[in-house]
Amino acid sequence: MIKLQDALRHAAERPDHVALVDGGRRITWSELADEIAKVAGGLAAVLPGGRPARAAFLCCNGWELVVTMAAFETLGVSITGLDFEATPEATAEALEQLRPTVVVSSKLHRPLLIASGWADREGVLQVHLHGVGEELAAPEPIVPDPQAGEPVHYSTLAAAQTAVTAPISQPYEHFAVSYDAAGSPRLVIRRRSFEARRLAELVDEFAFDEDDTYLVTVPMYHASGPGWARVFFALGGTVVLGPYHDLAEMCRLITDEGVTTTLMVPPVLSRLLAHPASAELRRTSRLRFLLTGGQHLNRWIVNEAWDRFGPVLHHYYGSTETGLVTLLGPDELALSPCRSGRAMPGIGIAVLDAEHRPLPPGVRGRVAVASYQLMDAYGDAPAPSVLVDLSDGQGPRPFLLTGDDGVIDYEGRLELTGRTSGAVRARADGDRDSAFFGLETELLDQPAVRDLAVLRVTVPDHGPVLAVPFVPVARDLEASAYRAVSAVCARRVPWISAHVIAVDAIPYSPTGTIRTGELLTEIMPLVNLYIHLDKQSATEIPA
Amino acid sequence: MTTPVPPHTSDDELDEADLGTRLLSLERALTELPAARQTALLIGELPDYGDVLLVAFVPADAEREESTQRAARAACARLVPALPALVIPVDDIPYTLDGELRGQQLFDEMLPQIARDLLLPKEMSA
Repeated sequence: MIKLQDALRHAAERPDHVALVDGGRRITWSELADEIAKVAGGLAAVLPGGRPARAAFLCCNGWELVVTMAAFETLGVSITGLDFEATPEATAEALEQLRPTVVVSSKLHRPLLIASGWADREGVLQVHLHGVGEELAAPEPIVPDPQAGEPVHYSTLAAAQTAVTAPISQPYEHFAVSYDAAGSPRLVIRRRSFEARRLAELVDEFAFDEDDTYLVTVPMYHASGPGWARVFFALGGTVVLGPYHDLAEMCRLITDEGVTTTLMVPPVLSRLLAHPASAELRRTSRLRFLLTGGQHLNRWIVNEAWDRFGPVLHHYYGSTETGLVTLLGPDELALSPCRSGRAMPGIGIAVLDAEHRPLPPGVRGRVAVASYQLMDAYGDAPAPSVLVDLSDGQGPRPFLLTGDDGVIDYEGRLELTGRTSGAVRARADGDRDSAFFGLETELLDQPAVRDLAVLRVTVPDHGPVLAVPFVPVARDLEASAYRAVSAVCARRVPWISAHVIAVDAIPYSPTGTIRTGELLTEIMPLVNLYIHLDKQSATEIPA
Repeated sequence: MTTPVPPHTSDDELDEADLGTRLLSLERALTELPAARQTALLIGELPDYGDVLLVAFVPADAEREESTQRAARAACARLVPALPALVIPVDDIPYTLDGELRGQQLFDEMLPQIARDLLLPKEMSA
């Protein structure tokens, strides 16, 4: 994130300049440096000994997490984010591979930590951050040797009296977790830092400076989250922590905070561009660099981004394993296939055949990358690299084999054509979905039913239910249609509670698809009411 | 520049690598649809039907939903003729916070419409 030494430098140059914005909290460089120093001091006093320190975190973005990450970096301890949407099994596997000595978590995601079996691991320090809506606990004095399993709260660390500015003595190692297509975690290890060189390359290319304001829209566990925030922290700029889902708030932040740069994954960017609040951004925002990357970028996003923001959209290709590989600016992006890019300075790209020989332009193959940002190993296994001679005078050099396919065009751009893992597969859930599959057809055969839809909905605090809105053929047949539909549901799908509701019409899109959102908006209040009444009658009528 | 697509001969000769290439070409064609806010391509395994190509798209507006569906259907028929294809407009496509497609969730949400599209014409014509 940022080391204390850099924060102190910015605090000396512009103490009152805002460094970090999180909701209503605005932290100046002076305050940020002070907070990092205290938390680093607090952490240094309680780090478990015995083996090199390494930390993991499981929490949403927040100013406390930023300070904690900066404190760990100041101490020279790698801190690795874990996907809080992963399964407990995947989380446990990631933690087993990482073997952290410190686990940082917030209340919201602690159940996942507990389910993974790492909430009270012996010899592992637990640090609790305050999540949204949690009361700040009164700080307690630092205990030099906390009881095993006893958590240390952020407020306790921040109350440390001894500030620390120097790293602890241990070899440099940086860990990150990447997840494959099946959701299985892999530990990515780097043994040298590339940040200084990458910062120089980016500043040289895009003229980022201390007046830039960067909006964070991705979780910090994603490599790009802290990676890009670090660039603007290092320059002494301002970093704004944005919400993940609240697009109106995101638009407000872009305007009110004077955001100049941001990174958004294509799905978030797509939703932002479709949101009415983004219509005015071209007139009201200072946005000059909008970065996106990944396979879901499409032509609509490229065109709409130009309309709404002007020529600011840049497309990147990179991964946790490779770092930043290619970038394509707005002008070229408007005329190129959506997944194209040009190699960043200092990066080599090759498209290889099955025998790892370079393929000529125009021929599709596996993408391989030579870069100063490459990882060194996957856990105990070396990085999957091969020696390739591109006949460019540099001789054979190691290229990391990626999981992506691509083609280099005749103008030197790399176009990604997909993943080697292939298309996403999904399957019906055996017998249950088989029964469900024919349900709608049978329901529509009921003589008193004119039209009908079957919707599977997950209700918070209740679980999955079936919502079955139907249109009776006549008002006086509504009761018999209701009975018939309820009986078919009870017979065909007895394991899921079905809520049958009469409606005036089933809304359809122009192509004849049910407008699910519109229909759910109409019927969900009734479904929720029925669930509530069911629960109430179950409580009132003893068995 | 277009990604080369191998010539299609018959279903029996369609091997996995060939199918993979065709699916990637289809995915690329879908990203270039001008009136689809988002698209997602799945292979769904359905009871009694086997593998079915499923294209979900979020229409940019209602007026262009039909033309987008036609364009996507045409791309499916041209690039992956070996698999039956369903092109379904959806309100939203679920992704993780870091932008990965939630394929199974999307499939589960589409299942009622898939059942409708696959079963109803057959049942009605029987």
